[in-house]
Amino acid sequence: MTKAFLIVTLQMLKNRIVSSIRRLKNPRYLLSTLAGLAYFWFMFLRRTGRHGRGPGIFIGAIPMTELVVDIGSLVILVLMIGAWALPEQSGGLEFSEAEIQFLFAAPISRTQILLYKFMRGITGIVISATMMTVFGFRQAKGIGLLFMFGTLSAYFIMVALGRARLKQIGIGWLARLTIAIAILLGISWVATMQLKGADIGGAMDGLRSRPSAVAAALDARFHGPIVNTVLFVPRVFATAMFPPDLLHLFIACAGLVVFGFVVFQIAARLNVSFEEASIRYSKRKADKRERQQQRQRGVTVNYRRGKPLFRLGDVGRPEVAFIWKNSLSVIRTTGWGVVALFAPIICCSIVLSQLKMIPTGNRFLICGALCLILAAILALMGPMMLKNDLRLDLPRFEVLKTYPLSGETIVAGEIAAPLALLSAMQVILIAAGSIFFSFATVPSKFQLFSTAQFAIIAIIFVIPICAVQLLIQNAAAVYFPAWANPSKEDVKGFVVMGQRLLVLACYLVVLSIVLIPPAAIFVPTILFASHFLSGTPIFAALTTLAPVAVLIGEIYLAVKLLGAQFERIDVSEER
Amino acid sequence: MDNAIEVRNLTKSYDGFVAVKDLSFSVKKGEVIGLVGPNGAGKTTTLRALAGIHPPNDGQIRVCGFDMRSDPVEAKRRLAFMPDEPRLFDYLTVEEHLQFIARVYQVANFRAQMEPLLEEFELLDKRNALPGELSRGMKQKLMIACGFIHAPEVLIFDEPLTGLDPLGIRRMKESISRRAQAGASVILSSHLLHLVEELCDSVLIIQSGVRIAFGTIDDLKFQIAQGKGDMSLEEAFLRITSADATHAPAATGKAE
Repeated sequence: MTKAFLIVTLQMLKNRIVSSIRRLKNPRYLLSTLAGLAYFWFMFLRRTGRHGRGPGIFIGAIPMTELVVDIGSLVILVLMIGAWALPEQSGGLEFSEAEIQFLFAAPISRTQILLYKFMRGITGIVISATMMTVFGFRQAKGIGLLFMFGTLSAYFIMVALGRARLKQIGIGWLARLTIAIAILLGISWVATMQLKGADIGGAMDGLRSRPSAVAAALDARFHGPIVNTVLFVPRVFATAMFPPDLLHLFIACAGLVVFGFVVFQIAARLNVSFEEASIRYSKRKADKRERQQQRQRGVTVNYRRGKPLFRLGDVGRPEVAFIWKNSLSVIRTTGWGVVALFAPIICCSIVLSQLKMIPTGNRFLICGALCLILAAILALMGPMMLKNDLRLDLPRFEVLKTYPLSGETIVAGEIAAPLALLSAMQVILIAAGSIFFSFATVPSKFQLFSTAQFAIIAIIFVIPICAVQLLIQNAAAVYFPAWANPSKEDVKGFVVMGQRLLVLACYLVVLSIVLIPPAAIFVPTILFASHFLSGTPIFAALTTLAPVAVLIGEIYLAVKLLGAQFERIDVSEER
Repeated sequence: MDNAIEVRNLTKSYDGFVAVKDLSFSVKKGEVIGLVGPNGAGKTTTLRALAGIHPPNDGQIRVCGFDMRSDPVEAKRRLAFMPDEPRLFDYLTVEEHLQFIARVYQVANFRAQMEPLLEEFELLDKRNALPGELSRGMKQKLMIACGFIHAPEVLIFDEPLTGLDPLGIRRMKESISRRAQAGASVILSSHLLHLVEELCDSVLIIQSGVRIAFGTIDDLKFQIAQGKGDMSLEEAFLRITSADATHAPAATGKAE
């Protein structure tokens, strides 16, 4: 049976690697993988020294291996004791639906199921160990990490069953928690006693000049007879992770094998009936994952009692139905999260109004500046945050396409709700900023922001700019649905990160291109107007009319194009 | 114009794979036809093309005289497509779904239409429930109620009975029959051949995207049995789909 499990485990690992490679035939995965790898290379690997010769980013700066082993063993000890304090005591272990279906009904013993559970985890452990080795833990040569995680995995299986066994004999969660806390407190007391008398401040001061000597001094404190006994097992784990040399690495790995074998035998002999609890536990975990994915996709209903903003009449323009639907979506899925953006402004305003030490004029200045900063952030981030449009309806394109509406009606209707909400919020913020500034003592270089003309121009510009951004985001959903919204079947990790980076880069490029024509008109116009017409009512009209007209023209064209593409889109194709 | 649906030489392929090839058939007003075929025969693709979801690569689809390619809005206004998997808006309640769809289809006085539908599909006490709070069968019922709210002339069902309980199945069958008697044309795809036999006037059998038989159920059974005794649709289907398409019975000339 062990051989069969081993074959299955190896096959799973092989299939995972093969499917990852096969996916690269799809340009989306290939480009995303390249972008993700490039990002990681620039962010991490490049800094760790040329081609892996460096000591590693996370521990590279700490040459004190023995002290690191001591600290690492303390962490492992806390983890090992803390595992006993967890509230879960049903003995449930996580299995996939298929495993429950086939394995639990198969004529195999509990020990064999536990062995399978342990071996199945090896795939993930191999990947984690490889990644950690690549990103810095090179001393362990991968093998140390593999043995450490593998043994920890066996230990946690034993603890999960052990908690259930303890419950059966009347030792519940509170008792376990109390014992675990007492043990940890005892260890803390021992550690305090060990460190008593050590010149910590002096040690910290000397850390830069004589790191090795300070490390040795601190390390010596970890080697009393009691500490040695308590940290014996955790130290084996930590040594496998931070071995000073190959000999220590192999000794630690051998120790871990023995310890892992012992804990697995204990787990098997605990004879806890974990099957039923595992089914419940696995379902709970799967539901939790589903909820998380739903939250990521923005379909979790947080406020089911949220009322519509207005009453939807029976007949009339169909776009209004989409505004009604998407406003409900904002209220119920986003909830008041977006509105909560106002909270910092309100809080700051209240705090500032109570601070007598700041002159009144400056208080208003700070409040006004906060409003304008938030409006600017909202202008940039709002369209990305508020996805209650075609992006959220992506899984329902099939249904939308059966409606007796033209593509442009659907596109216009879909983006109208987030546009109205974002515009309203920004208008309020700009108006509030302007009002605050009118009471403030504004420094001369910021005088421009305190004028009514600035507020009017900003309000006029902010709405079409917001619409342009929303249209670009929705265009990604219509033209490249698979890019815009990674499905739950998609691979995770740096591939998804690469995909997001590419989408963001394309978004910024397209936004820049779209804003060039109105900017090309706006810049010379405002220079001319501020020179000749500053302070006159014509100023605002002259500076805004032409560029806004260009923006509106672009929006009109974009809605037409997107609508036509929406009608042509074949939901059966992956792009 | 007797035909509510006319399909001529419909062809649809994905990435080089031909899912439906040169398919032609028509459905008269008030007629119920069953679309049957083995898994992967192209049934769902055909229905989705009829509903305007998949643009066909070739061929023509007319719904109540309106061409799906040149006049999709008018064609879609007259039909309702009920997919096998209910795709609902997670944040709208049962009543809000009907309200939204009614506005999209411009249904005047939708409340007068909604109440009987809620009653018919046993959704009266679920009117304020979100899809997440409904069972699979209830979601299916809501999806179908949404399809019925604008009293469409053409009803397209893809596995309409999936997830329904025995009472729900009976009511659904009655509901489909009633609407057909009122003049609606119905196309339903199902693997439940006894349902097809019970509800449908005609049957269209496709395999590998190609039509292999089309005609009234009685004609089809008679021809496959070659006049020898009675035969169920299931047996006829099994015989016809296991035989080479070129040896299909002659009852295939209805659309021409």
